[in-house]
Amino acid sequence: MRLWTLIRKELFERPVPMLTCLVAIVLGVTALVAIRTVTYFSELAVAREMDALGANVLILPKGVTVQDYYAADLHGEKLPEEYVQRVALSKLQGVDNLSPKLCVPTTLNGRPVTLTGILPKSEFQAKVAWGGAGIFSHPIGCGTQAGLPTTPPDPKTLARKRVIETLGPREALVGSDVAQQHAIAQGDSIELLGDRFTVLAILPATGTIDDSRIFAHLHAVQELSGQGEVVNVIEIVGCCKQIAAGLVNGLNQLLPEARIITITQVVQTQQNVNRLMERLSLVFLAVLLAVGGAAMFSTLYGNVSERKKEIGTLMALGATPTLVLGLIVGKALVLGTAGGILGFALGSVSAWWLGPLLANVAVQPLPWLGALALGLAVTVTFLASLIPAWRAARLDPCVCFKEV
Amino acid sequence: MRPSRLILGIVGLWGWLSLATMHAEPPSVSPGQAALDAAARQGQYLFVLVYKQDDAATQAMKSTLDQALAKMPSRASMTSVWANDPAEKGLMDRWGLSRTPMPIVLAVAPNGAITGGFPLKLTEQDIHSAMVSPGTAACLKGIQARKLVLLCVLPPRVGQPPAGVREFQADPANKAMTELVIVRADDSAEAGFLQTLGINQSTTQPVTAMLLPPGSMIGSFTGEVTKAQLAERLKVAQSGCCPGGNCGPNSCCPPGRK
Amino acid sequence: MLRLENVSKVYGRGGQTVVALQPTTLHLAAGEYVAVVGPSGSGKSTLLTVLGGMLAPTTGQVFFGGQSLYDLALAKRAALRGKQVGFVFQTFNLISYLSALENVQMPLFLAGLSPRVQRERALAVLDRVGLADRIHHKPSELSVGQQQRVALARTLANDPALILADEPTGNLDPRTREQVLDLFDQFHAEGRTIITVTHDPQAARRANRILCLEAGTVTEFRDPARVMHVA
Repeated sequence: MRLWTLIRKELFERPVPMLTCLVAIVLGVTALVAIRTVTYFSELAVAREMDALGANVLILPKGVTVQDYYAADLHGEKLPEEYVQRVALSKLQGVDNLSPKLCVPTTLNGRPVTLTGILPKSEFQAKVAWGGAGIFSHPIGCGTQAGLPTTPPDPKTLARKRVIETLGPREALVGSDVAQQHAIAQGDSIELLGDRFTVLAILPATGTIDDSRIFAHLHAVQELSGQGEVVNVIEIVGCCKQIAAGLVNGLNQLLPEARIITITQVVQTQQNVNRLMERLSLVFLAVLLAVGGAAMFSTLYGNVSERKKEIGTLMALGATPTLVLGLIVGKALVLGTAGGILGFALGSVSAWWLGPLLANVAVQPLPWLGALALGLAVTVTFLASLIPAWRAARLDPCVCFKEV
Repeated sequence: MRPSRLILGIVGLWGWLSLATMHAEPPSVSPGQAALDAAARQGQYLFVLVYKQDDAATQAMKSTLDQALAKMPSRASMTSVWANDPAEKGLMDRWGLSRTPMPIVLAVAPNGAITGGFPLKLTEQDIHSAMVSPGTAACLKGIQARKLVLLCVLPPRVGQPPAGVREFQADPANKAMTELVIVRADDSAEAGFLQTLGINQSTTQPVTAMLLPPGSMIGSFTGEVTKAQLAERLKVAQSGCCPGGNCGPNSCCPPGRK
Repeated sequence: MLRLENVSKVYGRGGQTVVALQPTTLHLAAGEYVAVVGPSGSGKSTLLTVLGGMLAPTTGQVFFGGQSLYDLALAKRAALRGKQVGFVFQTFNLISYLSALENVQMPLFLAGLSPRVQRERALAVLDRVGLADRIHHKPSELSVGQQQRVALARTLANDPALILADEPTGNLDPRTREQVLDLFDQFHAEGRTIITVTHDPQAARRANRILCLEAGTVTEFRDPARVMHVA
């Protein structure tokens, strides 16, 4: 016989009331863990985006809103391509990495695919150097890729840098998902919009919508799709947040007919959702504390009343008030631990399912959140057990002599 | 006919054809190119107004040009190029103007470097700012040719660039991709340019600046510099944390500081 | 063994004062077999709980083995009770969710013995009371007589010097009652002090000393053999 044996046997003797408050605790912890896990990974994704794209600026047609940065060209509205050269010639700092794109849905081997026309830097970069002596005041680290003959550009860097140096008129870069789906390899010839393109490279996976695109020269896509000299978006791949901030004002003045937004604005919605979720998780925490704690208190209070004779007998047999306290508190701690562990497991599974649906992020269980959930559940049950345990410890042992 | 006369006739015909070929007129150049050549010969800036339609914007730019250039006829001249003129296709393609907003004025230095591009509107200030110093124009030409420009600023009494610079440029691996530009530190015409680059005009030692397209200074060395140092700086610039300019938030530095 | 010096117990209930035990001075020697008789509500259970160290008297002192019981700290008193005193309850007070073996192990567990020693001793006493083949049965799976024997085994588990019994035969049939009283005789013969509260004249006659408790006052009954009726 051990204290744990006594607690365990008593728990299984009267499982129903305990199950009720266990369920309350589990639900509270589940909701808390699920929300916090999704929020955590969503914030991580936003931070990563901000870090990778934090200095980026998008030039969009007026009235277009963007939820997903990587799908900024999928809205169907258009801008004149000449805006690209207006920006390149504008002497604004930080515009040497432009990436104009035109998105055209098409088919490949009978299956729908997104063909994205992209303008290589070589087509307009020279114009950046038409800025006179002012170009030499560009900050170091911004667009200093030389493109010298000794350094032939690697087309696969499009995936990481979002800008391509050169691209032939009938060359294509294929996203990793598309390549896998259609069994395309580098060097293959594919038919797009009725013309043949040579696959220059298969892009590495990025985990974004770009994995399901095929990239070709913007002018080829314009010509073959008959769309004219237009683009859906001009992405300015910035290098420096300080410069990006000034750039937005300059671009607004240069292109009053367009909409200029930064990555911050794009992720604003997601950040707002994250903030809301965080507040919601606090609500659930309060619910956990209130409902779970109240249920536990009520159940234990009743349990002590139910066990008066038993407790009196134990005292008659030599149980100290401390042991009696330990019986009640121990039971609460067992329930709290079980609730915390179960709640964490269920919450993590829920988050794994909800993450991609709600926030477009993949999630994993967070050990530190498990510790937090467990700590919270145990604390709630412990606090809820204090009064009933104190009451039990102060029971008059004479109750053991009272007849049933 | 006697064989000797036949032979003579053939030789004569051959001679006449040769002479005719030697003195044949060269292929004709477009008016735009001709204006470029003429301005280059005269050491003048040429402002090229490229337009699609002779509309109000075009007229306004033309008027601005006329007024500004009238004050400095010896320094600069202008020409107009209609974008859809088949004769000017070569020029349009060379400058990649097919999707450029028009009208646009390009300022071309005597050495062929484009020192300014002004789409849609033009001011006199733009015109004056486009007429850069010879050193600037030389650097821009190299940059626009996608070369590494080694700008050597030489103080008085220093006759030639540091040995390391000459060695670097002479190296067959670097020769094609490098442009050496020499500027005198005490040349007042280059004062503004040197100030832009953060180079002290009163330096007593040669200063070597490395400029990469599309126009950033990746390093500068005061005094003697070795070929290895130049090569190393180039390597670092090209493979640094920010190739292509897609850096994190803390990667920008003010000019002249690494 | 036990000495009460001017011990009384007064309860305050809803503004009223109830004297459960009048000031009493009483000596109970080691090895005595004492029966406490009296009508319901006379204070018998109060006396038993005071003697057992579970209820502090309003006045007076209780000495157990020469030391003042209620001057000990709560924990020490509980430990003393666990080691020296065995209780037998009218309704057995077995813990319903524990088996016979586990019930008997309880006092041993409370005394701080290791699980192995608990099991050994529990098995021994259960064997003594003839329940070696029922050790894993829960109280609900045992007859009334068997439950009482488990309760007795529990009482003996810690080898107490003093046994306090509250109506030990109250719920038993005559045959089982005899068995239980025989066991009590055995306990007494082993030198233990037994104080039993009872309504049963036969149980009272087994004792060698009878105390009458009426309206909280304890009086001595001189001839136990002549107890015919207990109110």
